[in-house]
Amino acid sequence: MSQITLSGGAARTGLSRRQAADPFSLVSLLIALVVVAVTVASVVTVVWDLFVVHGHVTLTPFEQAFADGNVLKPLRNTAIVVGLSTVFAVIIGGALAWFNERTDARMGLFSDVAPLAPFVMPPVAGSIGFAILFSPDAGYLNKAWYWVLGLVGIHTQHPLLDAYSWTGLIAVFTVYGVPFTYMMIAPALRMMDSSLEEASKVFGAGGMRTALRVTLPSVLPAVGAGAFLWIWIACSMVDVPLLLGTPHNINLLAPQIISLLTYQYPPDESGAVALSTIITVVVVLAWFVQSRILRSSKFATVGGKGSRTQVVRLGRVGRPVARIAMILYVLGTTLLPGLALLYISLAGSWRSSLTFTHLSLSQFKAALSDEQTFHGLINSLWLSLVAATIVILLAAVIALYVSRSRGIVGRLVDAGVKVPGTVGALIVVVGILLIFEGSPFFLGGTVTILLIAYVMLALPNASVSADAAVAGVGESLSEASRMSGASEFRTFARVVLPLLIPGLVGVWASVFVRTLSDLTASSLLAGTNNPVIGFDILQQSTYGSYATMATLCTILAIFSAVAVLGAAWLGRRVSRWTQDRSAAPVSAKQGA
Amino acid sequence: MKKMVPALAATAVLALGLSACGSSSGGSTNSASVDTSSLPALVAAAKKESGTITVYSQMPAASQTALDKAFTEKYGIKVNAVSLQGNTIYTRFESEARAGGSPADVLIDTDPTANFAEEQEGLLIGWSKSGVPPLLPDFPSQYVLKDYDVPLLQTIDTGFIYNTDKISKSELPTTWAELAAPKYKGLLCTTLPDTSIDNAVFFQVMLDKSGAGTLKGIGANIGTTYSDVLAENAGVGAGECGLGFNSASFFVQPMVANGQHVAFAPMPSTYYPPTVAAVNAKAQDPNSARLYLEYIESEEGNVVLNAPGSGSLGPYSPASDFPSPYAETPPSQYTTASANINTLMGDLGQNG
Repeated sequence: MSQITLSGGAARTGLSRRQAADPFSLVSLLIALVVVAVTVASVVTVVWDLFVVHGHVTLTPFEQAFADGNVLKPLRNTAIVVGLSTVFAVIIGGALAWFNERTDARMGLFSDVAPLAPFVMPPVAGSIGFAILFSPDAGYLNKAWYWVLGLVGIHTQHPLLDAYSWTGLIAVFTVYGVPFTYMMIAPALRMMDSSLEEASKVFGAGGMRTALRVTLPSVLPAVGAGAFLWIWIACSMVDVPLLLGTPHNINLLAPQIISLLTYQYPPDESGAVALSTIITVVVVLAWFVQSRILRSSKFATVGGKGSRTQVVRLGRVGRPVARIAMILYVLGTTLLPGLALLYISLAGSWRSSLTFTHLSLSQFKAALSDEQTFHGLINSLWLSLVAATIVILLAAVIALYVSRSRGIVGRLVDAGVKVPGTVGALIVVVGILLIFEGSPFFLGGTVTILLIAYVMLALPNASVSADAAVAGVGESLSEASRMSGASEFRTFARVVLPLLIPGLVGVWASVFVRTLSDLTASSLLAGTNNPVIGFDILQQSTYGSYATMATLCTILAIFSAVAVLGAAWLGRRVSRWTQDRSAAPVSAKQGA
Repeated sequence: MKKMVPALAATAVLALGLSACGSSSGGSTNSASVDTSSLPALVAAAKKESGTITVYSQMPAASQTALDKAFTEKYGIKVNAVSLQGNTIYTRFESEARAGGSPADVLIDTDPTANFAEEQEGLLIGWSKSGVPPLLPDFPSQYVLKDYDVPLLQTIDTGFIYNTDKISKSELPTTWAELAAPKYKGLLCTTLPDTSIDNAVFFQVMLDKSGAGTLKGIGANIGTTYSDVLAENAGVGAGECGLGFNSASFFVQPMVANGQHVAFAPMPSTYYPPTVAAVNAKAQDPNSARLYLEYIESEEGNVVLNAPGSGSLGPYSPASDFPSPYAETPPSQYTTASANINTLMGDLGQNG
């Protein structure tokens, strides 16, 4: 059984000399240095020539990028959308986590999967799904809204929700942000010992005071990590703002950066990198804040003695309300957009009215009988499985090393893994192509180069989650293992990694889904010899139709759902090792 | 130390394995001589090469597949086509060239200015220097884009897509100025000049022919803008808007066949986005590459790509199939359009 203890300064106990020379630490450092070298080299290979001309550093790309002022509006728009969606994602993700982990509103595996449901829909698919539902005139739910209002004599042109408005854009961003905040906060709440809250109530604190003064600070690193992770991903998100922001001229920074690389020839790489520095600055600031939380806050960690979690009973009204809220959340964020995509896959097009007379599976048959598409799907599935597993193992090893390292090396490793990823996925992929395509590796046109790209693209974000997961694991269990004679490798494999799994399964699912639907690496590295499904989606986005894209996205969603379900089940199962939920539930009114 | 050995050994094996998984291509250049003295000589030289060529292409997959199948059936040389959209075709090709050599033998792309720039850098071979033109004495000269030294492979007849429930055929405009009329308020949709160079040129042509006033009037009537023509077509088909610009009949035909209430109509002025082809200057199979170029630009091969009624047009298509006489877009128009994007966006009311 594990015990939760409060650790001032978190799990950063530092490496003893013996530990520093230990093979595990040395191998960890070697792995970390290789990863950092590849990541940094990929970016520097592209960026160097842009900013170093004839041996001199030039800031001309920055001057050109910011000269005409066109960047200010996208910057402002990005700040609004990302900022608000982060706040809402933390609130909703935190609420869902609290319902599932600390109350009796939990509904088994459904509760584990529900908050992660948006993961199954790649952003390009989700954007199309929301457009089909909430286009102001043609969206099916808006049409239903107008019809219902018409029944009571109200004729309006104000939609229920306009997918192309500020509200619609922020809502969709929030939908995609909640899984990231949830997967950070939920494990932290799950691991937290109720005795801290009980002690607070014994001394007279009410539920709200306990929540704000005990519970929240205890999981603050997880909240910070979730917010940081989402800010980073949201700043770089392209598909959603491109599809939903463009119609009403809500332009964000990431699509503008992509436009510099893809709009015209020659691509404006220097301008794209210059604008990407804005995202780098934002991410570094957020990382700094999260690091301060990790270093200075007192928060809960998993220790070596027994602990138990008491659930709060919400009562006859509270429990069904919470459950209905969870069901409506899944319905609105995933099920309805997914059904919209499925409908146009079966109907063959986005029709102006819902009809069910000529639905068929012809789109699915055509997609799966196409050799290239089928081969691409198989490649994508196993590449995603392998990449996700490699990423979380690497992230865990590196996070562990960084958390135990006191010196500058650990900080440089941490920065080296995270910061280059902020420059932009396309830049990283071009760098990988330049390094690994030709001599001495000759990996061009192979699945190996795709795997390297997927791992390099996913690792920076995954490392954020791993940091928070590692921070939640106290040193006492590891020390006990060492004192019992286990090597560092054995301690990592048998003690640390199982404790990290609940915090990492969500990351695994996220990496799996994002890799499965990746378009960036696919666009430059995939081909006839190494097809992947993202390649097909790119094709359809130019010369195909919404129906064919929806068909491919529906197929991806099915596999993503299986992965998310499996990850949620595994995370819950492993968590049972460390938590005893047999303690009697506590009423929500107790101590109020 | 003993415990470190297995770990280090595993790392070394991994590194070796990664290298072993790599292909041996992508780094060498073929030094075989090129023989374009006659078509039979070129065919014979091509058949002595590897038997497979790689084509980087921006064409629709269906078109590419049909073309490649016909070529392979005729000459027995397989085609490994890699579909690359947007600037990724140039980014990938140039990055590979910097890395030691691209596996692409032929590039089929839609930006003649980019094609020409790569030719100037020695990455591609211009049409006049490829040795292929003497093998195609009947190739219509008006379809050689002389400003770019590249032949036209295909173009599409861009036009309106309109929702027949919202706009009738009689309501379609015959001039751009008509679209500024109040009756079209909120009915129009389009992709904007800043989404692609082709869109920028399209609106620049509209500005040149009709003036800023018309552009502003049209801008005021735009109800929805889209990030790409796929979304625009879907929006028109669903009834989100009535009339979309810059669609193509090969997009609209399948929608009509699927029972959607849409139709295609020519626009008052048309811009013909060209698809062009060129050989890699360091192609690994230079003779096969030239044979492929000869085939796709010959009447036999080009008709496979641009069959009558397919919605795409080529050098051998009847002149009557073109809504207006085909005209090469000069480099100055691309340059002007590219430099004028902010003005175009402002005239359309989209800089807010």
